[in-house]
Amino acid sequence: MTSRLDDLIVRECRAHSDDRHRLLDILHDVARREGQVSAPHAAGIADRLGLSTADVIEAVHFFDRFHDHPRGCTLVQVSDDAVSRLRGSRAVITILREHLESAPGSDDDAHFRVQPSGDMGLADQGPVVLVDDVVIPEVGEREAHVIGTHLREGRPASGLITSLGDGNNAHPLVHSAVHNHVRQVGPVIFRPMARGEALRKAVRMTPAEVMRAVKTARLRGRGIDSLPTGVKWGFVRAACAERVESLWGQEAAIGRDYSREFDRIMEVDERYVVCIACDPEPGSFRDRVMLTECAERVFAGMTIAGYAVGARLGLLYIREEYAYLVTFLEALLAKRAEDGLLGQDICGKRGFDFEIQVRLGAHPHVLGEETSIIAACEGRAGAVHPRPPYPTSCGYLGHPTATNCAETLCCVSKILDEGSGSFCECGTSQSAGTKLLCVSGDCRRPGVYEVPFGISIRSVLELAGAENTGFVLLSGQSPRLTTEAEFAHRIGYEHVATTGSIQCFARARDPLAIIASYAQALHAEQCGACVPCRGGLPLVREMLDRFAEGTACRAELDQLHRLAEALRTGSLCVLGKAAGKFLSQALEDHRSLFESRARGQRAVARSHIEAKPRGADKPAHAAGD
Amino acid sequence: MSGALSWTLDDRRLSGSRGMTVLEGAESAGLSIPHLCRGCFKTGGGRCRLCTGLINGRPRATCIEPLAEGMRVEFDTPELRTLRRTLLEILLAQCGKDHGTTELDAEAARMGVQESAFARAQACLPIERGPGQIVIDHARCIMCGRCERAADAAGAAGFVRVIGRGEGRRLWMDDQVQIDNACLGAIVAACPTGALRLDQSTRGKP
Ligand code: SF4
Ligand code: SF4
Ligand code: FES
Repeated sequence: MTSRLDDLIVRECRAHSDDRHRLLDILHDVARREGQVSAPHAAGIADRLGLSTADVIEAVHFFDRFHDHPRGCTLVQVSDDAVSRLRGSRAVITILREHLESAPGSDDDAHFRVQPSGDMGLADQGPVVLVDDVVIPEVGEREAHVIGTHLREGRPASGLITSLGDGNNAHPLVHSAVHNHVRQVGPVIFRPMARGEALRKAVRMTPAEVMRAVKTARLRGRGIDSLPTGVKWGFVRAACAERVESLWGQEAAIGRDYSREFDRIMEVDERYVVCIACDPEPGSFRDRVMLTECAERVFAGMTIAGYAVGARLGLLYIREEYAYLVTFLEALLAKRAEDGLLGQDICGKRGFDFEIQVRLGAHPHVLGEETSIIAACEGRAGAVHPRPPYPTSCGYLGHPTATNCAETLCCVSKILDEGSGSFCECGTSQSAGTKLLCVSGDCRRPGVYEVPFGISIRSVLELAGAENTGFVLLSGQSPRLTTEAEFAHRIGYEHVATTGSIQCFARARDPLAIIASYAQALHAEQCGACVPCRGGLPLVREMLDRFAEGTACRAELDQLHRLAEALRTGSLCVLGKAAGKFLSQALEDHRSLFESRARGQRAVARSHIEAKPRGADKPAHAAGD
Repeated sequence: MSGALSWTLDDRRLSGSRGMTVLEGAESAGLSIPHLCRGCFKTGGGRCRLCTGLINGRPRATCIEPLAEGMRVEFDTPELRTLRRTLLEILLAQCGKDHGTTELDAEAARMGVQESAFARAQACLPIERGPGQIVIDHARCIMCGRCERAADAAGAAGFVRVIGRGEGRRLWMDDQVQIDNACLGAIVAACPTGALRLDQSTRGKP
């Protein structure tokens, strides 16, 4: 190994205090400097951090961001998800490639590499171009030429920000062109709140009382895990009690004076809070907006969760595209520590210490599956871990961990600030409070809407200015493509449960192409730990593509049914299960369409989503259904 | 902590003890449940999903689910039989069925899976010479992780690892790690598909 490499590795590792749990941050930095994390890099880092080379190699190969060979120093990522494609991302990619990749194929010594990416947490303003942490939203063909020329001339990417976004996007520490697109403010998330008030009220109660308040408010997880938040925290508490008890029991059994073993008990008793704020589902961007506009509220929620479960460290896990927010978030954290809202004896409560660290993640996020996110926080490859044990008893570093999404934690702040009663004022009997919806696709006002639970899908479409909508894709544990007949359904845990990504598609769009592109989006997030999903989802994807194109055969319909069932019952985690449920539902709802394509009766419809102009006539295959 | 408990498997009343997994419980009662990724190891299953049963009505991998008092497990239902067949076909679509002597093939034979409905054209994966005398047939590897656990047990943690994600997952071996033949043998023996073998030609003296 050359000494230059040695120096670099020592420097980067030291910058993260040689902490092996910050391996992801170290890899991000090395990748940024070197354009790769090669085998010698990996071995060097492993050596320095006291890990095995296999651990580092595993992480490098798991996350899409890292490569073990040079592939162009500067990565130019273009969002190429279903919604961006509606808005011409393919053309943007072509233009950028013309400008930046002089010799396609031989990218070994190119300075740039243009890479189509899946969802980037910016579905409301796609297509998006991401260069060096600089996000450039709403890129059309004209902008693509400007970006291409700018970068080719070797100018820094930051020069591409010509106008700043609204709200805190214009904050000097954020300095971003991203827009918030907060279209509707509700009473819970974006309503201004006295800083520190919720936390001060919380520490005046006992942790048990805090948990009771959250339970009384009937707060349920707003992410993919819809467990009541108070119950989840209760599990963490119970797991801690069990651990301590088993240790004390042991100590007592061997007749030792365990009062002197306080340190060991504290060690056994370690627990953590992890806030998942990486917008893990395709089409979701609520975490981005919350982190920009009400990060303090997320932090307050994390601190309250820490108080309730007895944790001393909270981790905020964000996606790599949100790297432009890190400095801003860390400044906010520093300010909170200064004001006594973090650190030691928080709000004057003796013995209540809590710290928050920001962890920059990387793709894939596996729909925010807890064990995967926790692994990434620990600096390990984020493959899903079979459960049991559950994260509430064996999570971060093997200790009981409360994982909550940012929206849930914002709700916690609201509940502690204004009481459970006022939180329950909106919503329905089983779904208290409000929900953030991220509306994107064929609509005039894409963005974030805070709506009370119980609102109908149709009302959401009206709010967003989505006319002529034929299909709506709702994310969640059971994602589904709804058709007009179901637009009267209401959103809520007892009705149509969703995690908040609402993608609208005009009547003219081909539902099978939408279904195929959603399967593709899920495929892009899979970890590959279990057989049905690793082996089945690629098969499903290929078959759905053939159905969308009209080249599928009859036998493939039966195979799809079988794969859907295998994914649903056999998958290890929520992603494969969601894919299976989505597919079964789609096969049922659009059966005649699938059958007509399989027989190849109609003219072969080459109707990829991206190939169709907006507002095009109803395609031939849909006419008779 | 320890204690007897009673549970049912497909209407059969069985007894087991605390700390066992459902799969172990069934085995201790002399019943066999198909499984692949767990192998003979206590931990680390949950990946092949072949051992999936309905536990109190919910699908769970029996190789990691702890047994509990009064648990109701269904295993021999038409849906689960179809699931197991589908899983095997997914695996066979990837690695083909031609060796005939491996655990994978035995499970396939037991379930009457002759060939895979999902066979498709895919990139030819290489047969690669690994460290020592090991030869890796990447196409046969089903990423079950048994070799990893065998290496751990033999004191060679980090020698072999399944890396990558999604479809790109593959086996990786660290050629910097010194490893003896006994240990290599244990690793090869752990593989249920014949993806690993020792090259006979240079076996013995290095
Ligand atoms: S279902 Fe998919 S994402 Fe989940 S563990 Fe299995 S392979 Fe990974
Ligand atoms: S080489 Fe064999 S034991 Fe190792 S992961 Fe592959 S199939 Fe499993
Ligand atoms: S043996 Fe249980 S999942 Fe593989």
